[in-house]
This record gives sequence, C-alpha cells and structure tokens, in this order.
Amino acid sequence: MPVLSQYWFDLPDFRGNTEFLSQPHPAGGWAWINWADTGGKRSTLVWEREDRELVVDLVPLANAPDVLAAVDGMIHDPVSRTSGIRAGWIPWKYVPFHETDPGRHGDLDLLVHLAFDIHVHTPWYCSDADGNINYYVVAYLDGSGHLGAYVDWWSWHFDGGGPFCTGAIADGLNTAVPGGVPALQAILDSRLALFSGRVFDLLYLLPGSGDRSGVGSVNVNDHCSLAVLPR
Amino acid sequence: MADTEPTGKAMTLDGIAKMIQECLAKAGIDAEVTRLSPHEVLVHKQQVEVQGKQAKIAAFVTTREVMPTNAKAVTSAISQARHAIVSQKPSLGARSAAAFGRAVTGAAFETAAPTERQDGG
Repeated sequence: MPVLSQYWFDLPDFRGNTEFLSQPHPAGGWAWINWADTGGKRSTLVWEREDRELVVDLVPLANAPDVLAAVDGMIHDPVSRTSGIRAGWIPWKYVPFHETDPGRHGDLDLLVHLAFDIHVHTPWYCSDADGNINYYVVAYLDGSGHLGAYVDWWSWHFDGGGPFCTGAIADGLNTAVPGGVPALQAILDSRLALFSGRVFDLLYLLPGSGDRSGVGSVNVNDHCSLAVLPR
Repeated sequence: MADTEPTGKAMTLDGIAKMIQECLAKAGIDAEVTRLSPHEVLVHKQQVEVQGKQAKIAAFVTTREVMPTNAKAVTSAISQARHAIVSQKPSLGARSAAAFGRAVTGAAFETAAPTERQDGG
C-alpha cells in the first residue's frame, strides 16, 4: 500500500525541527491528513512513497562500533569525541563556506551531514575548547542505477581555547579533519558494497527514520534516512 | 639589547620571546618559552610570587588572526571521479514549489514559479 508522508519544518528550506505524518492509503484513493496546527512552520514537503521503497536509517549506521572506532582513530589527544555521530541532511546553500565553490551543487541539493562534538583539552594558560567536526557526503545513482556516495566537503568549528591556543587548535583540526576523509570514504565504500549487486530507479532522502505510518518529530539536521526504489 | 641583535622587521617570533624571557629572568622569574604553532609563541610562568601574592605570567607573540571555523572541498582523485559519474542525487531544487504567506508588515512573500519535479529527496 502506498504511503503519503508530509513533513513540516521549523526553518525555511526544509531544515531544523520537523514534524511528520505518514498515511498509508489504497492506490488510486485519497490519503487524508488533517493537522490541527501548522503555526510556526516555515516550509513543508510531501512525498508519495511506493511499496517498493527501501529505507536505510543513517544514524544507527553511522554509530556502528566499527564506524565509531574509525572516527576515534581520526582524532587524537588533546581532542576527544563527546557525542554520537549525527547524520542529517543539509541543503548545499547552508554548507559552511559553500560560497567559495558556488557551482559545485545546486542550492537545494541535499548532502548527508555527518557531525559529532569534540572537546579540546588545553594547558593552564588557555581555556578548554568545545566544537564540532563535520563531513558532507553526496549520495548518488550513477548512469546504470548503481548506488554510490563520496565525501565532498568538511568543516570544523570551536569555541574557547583563548587567549593563546586557538591557533594551535585550528592547526590541529586543519590536519586531522581532512586527514580523516580517506578513512571515512573507506567506511562508506564498505557499506555501499552491500548494494553493489542491485540497481535502482530513484534515490532520495527522508527526514528521521523514514517511518511509513503515524506521527512524530525529528531534527532533520541531525537525522535522516536514505531511500531507494529498486529497479 | 646589544647593537648586533636584529630589530623591528628583522626580528623573529623566537627572538622576541627570548628577549621577553631574558627580561623576566633579570627580575628573577624563570619563565618557559612554548612554541604553540608556526605563527605563535608563548612565554609563560604558572606560579610566581608578586608582592606576596601568587601570580601567573603569559606573554603571547603572534603573526596571525585565528578564525574558529574552517571548511573546504575534498579534492581527492576519488571524489573528483565520483563527482563526474553522478547521474542522480537527492535534491529539492527541481520541484513543484510555491511560497506564500503574509508577513507581519502585510507584504506578501515572493511566489516561486512552479517547476517540474525531476528527482527525489
């Protein structure tokens, strides 16, 4: 039975806290969604989802033990990971410093945003710093309908480390974060190998776990799923 | 400073740090010099008594302003090659769309021209 899913976002361009409702319905019949109050929402999406849809929830995948071990291997003392890995979506126009390469993607092309928080210990003459490390992944189908993904962009941000350690922290992150790309790509490739024998007609992202019934809420910046239609 | 020592533009970060360290040494303060990065050096002493009170000393010499954020494209050959074979990627850019509403001031929001949906996301 097909499913009509509707998503309401707190922010324009389909970002932030998201409320959703999915309604299965007979093919050729109406799907009814009554929603008492959509006040305060700034954008909405509707998707008619086919029976053959396959959904992969990216947050559990990103927090598998081997993935966490690989991520922890990218960063070293005095930097430590202080959160799980978030896996949301982000429109290209909101990726930090995207303006340095504006034609790389369309403004509303969706990248998978992998992010985690960090803490940086410092000597006595500085405050400790807290921040985050971010990787931006393009999921795609090639001309033959095979699923692929590649790490396309990285960023970091921190607060603290003053008054003297911000430079050393920035230098460390400028080495560690791009240095982690090959390991992350290797993880992606190992997961994609599970799909190597399959061909797909369509690829899209869904907020949260891609639930096919009921209501819920999720922050799409932190949690999304990949959906494909097998050929 | 001796006549033979460099001055002004010719001085290095390490040279300035050494001068500060020597000045402190003349006051009986045994400060350390730590090279924080290629662009930054710190002369510091964690515990020193000044007029009967505990004090900390830190003199910072730097040639840059640090931004607490950075981002860049991945430019490896693998990512370039994959970028070239993308046939379809998730996008909300080609969709049937409209924006409507009324701002508090009474001015209507811009209405986008409808377009054909071409792919997912």
